[in-house]
Amino acid sequence: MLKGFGNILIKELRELIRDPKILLGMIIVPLIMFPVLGAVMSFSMESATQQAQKATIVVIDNDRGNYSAIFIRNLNATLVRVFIVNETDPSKAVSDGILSRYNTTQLLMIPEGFSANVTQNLHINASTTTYVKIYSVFSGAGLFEGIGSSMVGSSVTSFNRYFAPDVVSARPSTIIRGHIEEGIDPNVLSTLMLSQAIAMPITIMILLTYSMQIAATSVAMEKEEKTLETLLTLPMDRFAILMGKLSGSIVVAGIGAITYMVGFNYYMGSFTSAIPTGSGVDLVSLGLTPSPLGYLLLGASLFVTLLSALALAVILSAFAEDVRGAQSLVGYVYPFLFVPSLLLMYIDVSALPLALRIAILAIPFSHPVIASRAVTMGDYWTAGLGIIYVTAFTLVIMYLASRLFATEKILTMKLRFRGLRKRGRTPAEEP
Amino acid sequence: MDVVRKADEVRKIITYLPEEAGVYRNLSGWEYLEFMARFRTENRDETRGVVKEAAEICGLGDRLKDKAKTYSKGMKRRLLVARALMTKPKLAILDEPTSGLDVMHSYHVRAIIRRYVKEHGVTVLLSSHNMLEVEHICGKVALVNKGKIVAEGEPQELKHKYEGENLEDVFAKVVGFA
Repeated sequence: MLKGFGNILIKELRELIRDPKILLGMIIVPLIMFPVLGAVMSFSMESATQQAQKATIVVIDNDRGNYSAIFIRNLNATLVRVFIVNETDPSKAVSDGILSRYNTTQLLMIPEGFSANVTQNLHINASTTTYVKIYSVFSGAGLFEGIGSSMVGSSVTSFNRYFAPDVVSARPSTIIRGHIEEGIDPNVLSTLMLSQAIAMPITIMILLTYSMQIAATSVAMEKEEKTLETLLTLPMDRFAILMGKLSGSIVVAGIGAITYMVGFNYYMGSFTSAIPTGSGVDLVSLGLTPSPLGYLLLGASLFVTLLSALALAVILSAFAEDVRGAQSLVGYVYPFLFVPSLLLMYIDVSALPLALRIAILAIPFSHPVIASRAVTMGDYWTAGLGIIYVTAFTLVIMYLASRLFATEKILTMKLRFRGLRKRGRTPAEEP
Repeated sequence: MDVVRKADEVRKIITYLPEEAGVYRNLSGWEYLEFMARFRTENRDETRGVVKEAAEICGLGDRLKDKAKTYSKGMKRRLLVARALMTKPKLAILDEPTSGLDVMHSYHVRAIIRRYVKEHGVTVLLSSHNMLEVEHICGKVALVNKGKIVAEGEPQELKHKYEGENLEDVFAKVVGFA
């Protein structure tokens, strides 16, 4: 046994366990954070599946034969509600708003001659096949977007299993912004949009955590290295110190974000190039890439969110005595960054229960993720309202930060873990 | 001038050197002086003049080009004292300017302060626990015990009045532990 090892080990454990920052950061936060993340993931999965199961489908039956009736009965067994409409043309049904009238995103069209073709397959020529067309509304809602059309697809499979293999095939198409894009499979589209569904939230998470660390470190460093005291005695506007710190952090974080996005884009590119795109899906021609206005709004949303995160980091770090303390304090904001980003990766915000939706919308860090989806789908209002909300939030935080910097309290303020109360050091406590 | 109500005005005419002041680790000594000078100068020429003055005061020579993180404690203190005096303020408040320094650096810092007061008429308010240092540098002394001034005057006058060999003796007698 190494001489003195046991003694050192006991001392280390005592010191580490008694440090409230370590206790909170290493033990309590993960104990809360991971169950919350797990709950978020399973909630997203469940709600996407439930939505698909509860799905309503509108059916255009242009065949009106025996087998089309059987097919619809089979659909009824898989899906909760099936509405048969009199319209014959899917394009017209979509443009007339029939889908929103029945509150559904799925439309199925059984072509004329469906029953005749099935009969021919079963009794005369097994090589005769037929098809049904499935039209799904694409909303860019996340990784589970394709579940609805998959449910209809499985209904076709069960029909085939009952009668004959491959007698009916499903031909999926996508409805984008009220227009039918024939032959575009929503699943392929979802896969292609994967980089956006995952890359954007992850990029935002990393960009925000990274820049918050920079801002917090920069303020705490001034305190730790004892340079802040001198800075506050200089004939200058106190607000300039705050703005200088924020702007410096934004520039460094911006450079970091660009480098990161270039790298991440390359990384995602290596995946998407491996996805077979035989269907010839082209996101640009489908209008599923943001317009210049969309990019502008997305940039604005990212910028104001970044500013709000930095201002928050500056305020929090003002309560810390050193860099380590500042980083721990900023760490408490991370769950508010991770949970909405992960949730929105899988599910659309409009699909959440009201209370959860309000909670997610109240967190400013959700808005760039929401904006990235919205601008892709041409919904500039959502992005714009998000920007207004985050700007208001940022202004409040900036005001608080500027008030903090205007006083000398910034030198002496600190958060105490017992009771989390703020205190100023009195002269009697000075060393 | 009311230091609370007119804090902005007061900051223009004073400089302050805190006891535990630090420097920016990744700036060179020269860059640090430039950064500080810009707050109190109007143009580039004036800044350059002030920084040159500071370089002369601190006497760090070519080491001013090196990053401050490579400096010893004494070098940092010399840089900071130069920073506090370089703009010739009406009042420079220096809190323990030589605490923790070795003999050579302490000697240099004291020499800087004495020379600057003499040559440029800057008033220095210096706080120190080192009574011998106080006696050596200061023209007027106030002895403070438990937050209150207990004796005040020129060093010679105090020594004579309290029959002390030096100011340390005087302090001990005034406070009553000798």
